[in-house]
Amino acid sequence: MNDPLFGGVDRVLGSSDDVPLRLALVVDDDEVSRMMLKSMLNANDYQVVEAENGEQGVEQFDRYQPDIVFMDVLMPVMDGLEATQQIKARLGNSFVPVIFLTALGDDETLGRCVSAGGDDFLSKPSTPAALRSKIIAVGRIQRLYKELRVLNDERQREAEVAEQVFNRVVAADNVAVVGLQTLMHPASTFSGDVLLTAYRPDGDLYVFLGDFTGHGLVASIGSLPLADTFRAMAGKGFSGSEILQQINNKLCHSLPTGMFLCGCLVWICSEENRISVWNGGMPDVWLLDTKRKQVKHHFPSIHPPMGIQAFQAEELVLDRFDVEAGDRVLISSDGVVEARNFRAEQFGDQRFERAIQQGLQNDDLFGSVKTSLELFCGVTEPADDISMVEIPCSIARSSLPPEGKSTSVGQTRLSQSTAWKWQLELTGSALNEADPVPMAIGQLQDMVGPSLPRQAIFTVLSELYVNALDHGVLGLESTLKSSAEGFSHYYDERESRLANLSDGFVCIKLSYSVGAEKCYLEMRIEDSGPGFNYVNWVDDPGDETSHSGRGILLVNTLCDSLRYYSVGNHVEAILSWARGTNDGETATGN
Amino acid sequence: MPIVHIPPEKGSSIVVINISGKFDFSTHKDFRETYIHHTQKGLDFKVDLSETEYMDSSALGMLLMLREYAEENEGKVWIHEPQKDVHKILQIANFDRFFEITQCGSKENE
Repeated sequence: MNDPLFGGVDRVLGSSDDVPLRLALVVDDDEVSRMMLKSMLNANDYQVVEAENGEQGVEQFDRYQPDIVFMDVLMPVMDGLEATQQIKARLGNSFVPVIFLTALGDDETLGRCVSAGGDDFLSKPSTPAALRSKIIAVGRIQRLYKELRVLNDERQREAEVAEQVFNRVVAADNVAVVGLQTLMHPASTFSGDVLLTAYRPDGDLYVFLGDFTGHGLVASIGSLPLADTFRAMAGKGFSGSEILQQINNKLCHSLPTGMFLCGCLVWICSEENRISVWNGGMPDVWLLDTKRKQVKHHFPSIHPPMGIQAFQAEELVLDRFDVEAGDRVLISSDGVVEARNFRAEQFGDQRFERAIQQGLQNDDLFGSVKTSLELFCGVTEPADDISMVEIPCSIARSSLPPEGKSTSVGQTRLSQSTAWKWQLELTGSALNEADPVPMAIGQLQDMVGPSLPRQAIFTVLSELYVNALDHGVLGLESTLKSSAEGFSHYYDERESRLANLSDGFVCIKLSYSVGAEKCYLEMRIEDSGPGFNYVNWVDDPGDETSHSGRGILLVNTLCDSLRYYSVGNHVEAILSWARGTNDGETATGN
Repeated sequence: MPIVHIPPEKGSSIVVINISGKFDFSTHKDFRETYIHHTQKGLDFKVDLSETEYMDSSALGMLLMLREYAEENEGKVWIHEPQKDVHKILQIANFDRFFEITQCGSKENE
C-alpha cells in the first residue's frame, strides 16, 4: 500500500501519477475521531476533507464534491441526519454514498439514519479492516450505479432515435382520412404497434395496423421496410394480397428469427360498397352497422403473422364483405383486451364487447370503448402498446375522376373506375433517342403485377407506336416495303429522317382499370402526322393491300376494340384480360 | 425456477422443456439455455405448456427460435397441452402452422 502523498484537499494536485486519488469527506465534531479516520483513509489512497458539524459538512460537500462521505450522527449546529438529507437532495441521479459513524446496537438511530438517506454504517471507533471492507462494498455499489447510468443513457438515446425514425418515416406519411379515429398508446417511447394508411390511385383506402414483437428500437427495425413497401405499393395500386406478400417477403429477409409482425389489412373500396380484410395474428376485426346498431361481422385471425415464412397462396386471400354507408370497421391490438388495472385484472373480451354494444346504442362507438378502457385502467401505465382504429366504410374518393370518354368506347367500360393513368410524350429528337415501349411495359408490370398479358400488350404498343412514328411523324409510306429493295430503302430513309428530326411528337397514354371480372387497359397513341384514311379500313378490314404494312390486322385480333379518331393520327386500342388471383380477393363474406 | 428442462432419457431423443407460470421475455435466457447445449443431431423438443399461465408474443418468438435450432439439427418441436388462455394466443397467431400441438395422452410414448 502506498503512503499518501499528502493529506491536502486539492484533487488536481493529488493526481501526481495518472490515477486520481479519491476524495472522502469526514464530518465529525470530535477531532480525535476525525484524525483517526483520516489516517486510515489516507492509508487506503483517499484524500480527506474535514468538517466539524453538519452545516460545515454540506458546505464542504458543495465545494469539493467528494466521492464518499463519513458522517457522525450527533453534532452541534446541524446534526448528521439533516446534513445527509441536504446532501442527498443535491445528488439527483448520481450516487455518493454516505456512511454513518455510530455505535451499532441502537436500532432506532440506525433506522433514522437510513431514512435520512444513509447508505451504510461504520462503528465508532473503527478498525482499519472494517473501514477497508466498507470502502470495497460501497465501491461495488458505486460501480453498479455508474454502469446502470451509462446503460440507461444509451437506452434513452436509442429510444429517442427509434421515436424519431418512427415519427419521420412511419407516422408522418399517413394520409388524412375523414372519419378515421385512432388511439395509439405506446408502452415505451417507441411502440411496437404501427398504423399505416394510404390511398390507392383509384381512391380506395388501405389501413394497416401491425404489432411487432418487442418494444423500443428492436420493434422499430421492421417498421421501415413495412412502411416503405406499404406506401410504394399502395400508391401504385397493387392489390391487398400483393402488398401483404411483398411485406412478408421483406420482413422474412430483414427480421431475425423470433421477431415477427402481427397485422391486419383493411381495404375499403370507395365505389363498390365492399371491404376486404386480412387478419394475421391480430384480435378479431369488427364490422359494425351503426344504423341498425348491431355487429355485422367478425374477421378472426386466420393467417399466421408476417416475417416468419413465405406465404402460401391461400394465406394471402382477403375476406370480402359488402357494406353500407353507416358501417364502420374497428381494429385493435391485443394491448386493448390485455390492458390491466391496478388489481392486475385484464380489460378482457367481455368488457370490450360490452363497450362496443354500448357505443352502438350511444352512436359513439370509439368514444365508448375508449372511455370504458380509460376508466378501467385508471392511472395504471400500460404494459403493452394499446392501439385502436375505427374506419368509416364510406370514404370520399381522393383521386381524380376518370376523364370524360367518347361514346365510341365499348359500353361495358363506362361503369369501370380508372385505377390509374400513365402518359409519355416524346418530341423531336427525343423520338430518335428513346424507345417508350419498354418504359410503358415496365410501368405496367410494376403497377399491374404478374397477371399482365405482357406479350400481347407489347405487340400492340410496339405496332401502334411504330406506325405513329414511321407513318405519322416521319411520313414514310408502307408501300415502300413491298419489295426487297424497298425494305432496305425504307430503313435507310427511316434512319436519316429520325436523325434529322427536330419537331413532331408521339404521345402514349395508358389507362388501367379493374372491373368485376376483368382488367382493362386502354392504350391511346397520338402523333403529329397528317393521319391516313382509316374509314376505308374500318369499312373493310379485310382489305389487306392498302394497310398491311401497318400491322393493324394483328393488333386488331389481339384487342377488344381498335379505333381511329380525328384524321387518323389518333388511335385507341382496348385490351382486357381476366382478373388473376393476384387481384387478391375471393368472395367469402356475404 | 419457472423453466424445468429434462434431458433425454436413455434410448430417447426427446428433450422436455416445461414452463410454469409466465412465459415471456423474462424467461428468454433460461429458455435458450435449455436447448442451446444440445448439439447432437436428431433431437426432438417437447415444450410442455401445461403449467404455463401466461404467454406473450416474445414467447412466440422464442418458440420460433427453438424451432429454427431444432430444424438445423434435424429435429422437431411440438407444443404439449397448452391451457385455454395460452392455447388462444397460439391460435390467434395460427401457430399450428408451425408447430404440432398435442393434448394429454398423445405423444407420451415417443
